[in-house]
Amino acid sequence: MSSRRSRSRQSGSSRITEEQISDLVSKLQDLLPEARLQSNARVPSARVLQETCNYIRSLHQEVDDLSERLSELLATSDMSSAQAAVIRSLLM
Amino acid sequence: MSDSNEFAELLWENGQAVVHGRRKQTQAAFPPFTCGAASSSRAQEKQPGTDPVALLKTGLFGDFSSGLDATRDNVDLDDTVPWINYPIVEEDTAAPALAESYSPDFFSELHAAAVAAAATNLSALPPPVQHTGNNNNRSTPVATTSRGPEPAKETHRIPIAGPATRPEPQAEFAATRKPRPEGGGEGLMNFSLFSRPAAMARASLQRPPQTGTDKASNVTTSTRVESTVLQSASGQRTAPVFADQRTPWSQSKEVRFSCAAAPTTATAGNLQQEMPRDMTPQKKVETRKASEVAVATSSVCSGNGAGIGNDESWRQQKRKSQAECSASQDDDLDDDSGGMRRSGSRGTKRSRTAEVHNLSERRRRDRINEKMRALQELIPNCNKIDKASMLDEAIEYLKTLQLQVQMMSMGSGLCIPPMLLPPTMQHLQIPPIAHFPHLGMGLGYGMGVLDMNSTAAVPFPPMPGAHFPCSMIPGTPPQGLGMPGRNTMPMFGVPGQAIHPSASSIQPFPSLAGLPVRPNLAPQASAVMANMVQEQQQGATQQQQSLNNEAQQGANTGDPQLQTTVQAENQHFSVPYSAQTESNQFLDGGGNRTDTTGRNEAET
Repeated sequence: MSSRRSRSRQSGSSRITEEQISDLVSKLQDLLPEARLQSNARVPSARVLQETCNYIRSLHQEVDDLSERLSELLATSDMSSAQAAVIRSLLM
Repeated sequence: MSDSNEFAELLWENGQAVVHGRRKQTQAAFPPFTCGAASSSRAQEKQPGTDPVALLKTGLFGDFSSGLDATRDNVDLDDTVPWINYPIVEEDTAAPALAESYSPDFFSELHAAAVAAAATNLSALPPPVQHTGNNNNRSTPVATTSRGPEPAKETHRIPIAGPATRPEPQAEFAATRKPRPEGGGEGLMNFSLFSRPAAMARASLQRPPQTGTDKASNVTTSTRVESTVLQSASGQRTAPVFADQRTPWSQSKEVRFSCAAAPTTATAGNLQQEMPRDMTPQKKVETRKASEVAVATSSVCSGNGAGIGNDESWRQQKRKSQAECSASQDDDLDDDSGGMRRSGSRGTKRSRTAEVHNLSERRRRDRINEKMRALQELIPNCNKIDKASMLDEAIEYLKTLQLQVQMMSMGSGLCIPPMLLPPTMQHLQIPPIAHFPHLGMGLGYGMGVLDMNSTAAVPFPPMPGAHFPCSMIPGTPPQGLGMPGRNTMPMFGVPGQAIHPSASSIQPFPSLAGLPVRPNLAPQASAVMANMVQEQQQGATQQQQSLNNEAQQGANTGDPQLQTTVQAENQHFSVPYSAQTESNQFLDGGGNRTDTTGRNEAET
């Protein structure tokens, strides 16, 4: 009794956000590449968040690499102005 | 007396002086500190192998401590931290918030002189004159003799209605407690209160009642904010989590959680059961009344009540005040205390399982909060306070990042091949273009729709927010190869094709066709466009998949460097499958061109 009560109480006021959050976490999970999580099975929220952090970090790394590459391209290539504009807009 | 020895051991955590002083306490004085003992035993869990816990098991707290022990197995140090903090907060902080409702009753426990002294300090609290007579009756001889000097010397001794030896440890205890908030140095409102002697007195005055049934709920609801503050203050001892104020939402959540957690519930329930049991043989007071007091009121009150025993009216007042107190709290507070009372009467098993459950639950939450914080740090400009909007932001940011990476790899894919490839190899540039999802899609679908209706049926994941290519490529006027106006329409009509609305102002095909279109010199996009346009002008519509494959092979053999680039990008890509789909799609379209395939054959 007390367990149920205290539990419902402690999550009572934050119930809505609790559901929202699990919803958002599952959305987040959908955004993650499959390889990062063994999908199908229910993945704990903490793990999803952890993987999200890792994924964001890897994306950051990727962005860094790519912008480096693009700026190299921009510096070395004799591309058309249109392409240069595209690349510059990507590097923003 | 062995019990009180145990008890003194347990309190050692709170202050050195307490150990010796408490040992001499009479049994009447003992119950008030049971909660303190419980809390300190929780604190001691941090140090495995220390005696107090073991002592607890064998002592009168056997029931309770076994519960503790059971939970301890499931708790790592992280989890004990809030626990440890919590009892401290109970003692130190819960009281001030309750000062208004409890004050008359607390004063009733005081000696008359003590009340007077306290009243000067606590001007807000009306001196409970009606209780003084009862107090005198209740107090033990030793206590009364010792009380005279007490109020005069230090205000924080006042609340202690125990034997003569007691004030000393209490004073030291309070003294040891005093620097703690100051050391915490969070600079928050309550600290100033606590650093003042009057505030100290009030805190210790209020301490007894909060250890009873209500304590958990009181702390949980009425003093939530204050407890946060003070936890961080006392956090110098223990919890780094609470000392860390950077994320408000997680902070408040955790505080609330720890307050509401089972340990306190179980403590209250168990204490209610055990204290009366313990008291009755020693004091020879009416057990029923004593237990009633123990259940209905705080442990200190019940201790004194047991000592005095006969003061029925006083006890009733206590109970009444308790009822008032709980009535004045929130709804969920009422629920909580009600639940606790019930669990206390029914047994400790449930509360113990609840304890375990809540601990695991809290651990889970702690983990999640930790990750949330980490995630928040990764998101730039994320000042969101609540988790939901923070997660929203994280999702958006993740999408943005994915898109950015996609576009950048597309951009490099778009630009590298022209440099790497000799002009005659332009047909090999089809795969890299496929990395340009929207552009590739646009082309592929456009061609599919125009040339062979079958490709339009191929499902393709929509690319929301894809707004890159067309609008960015400056649309020079079509150089005689401009698409017929009708051709642009099916492109936009294709389901799942994601061309950003802004692109509609500049029609994709013309804008692409605007790039240099001389087949042997043009960059890939325009080359493809040229092929397509030629195709359309020729009106050829037959599918030649085999030739398409040949074109792929030609890519493999003709330019290994490009091939590796393409592969690398496919692996690199966060959505390789979609890119692949596009690639195939596009190749389907491209394979239809007789002139393209002819060139492929020629090259291979």
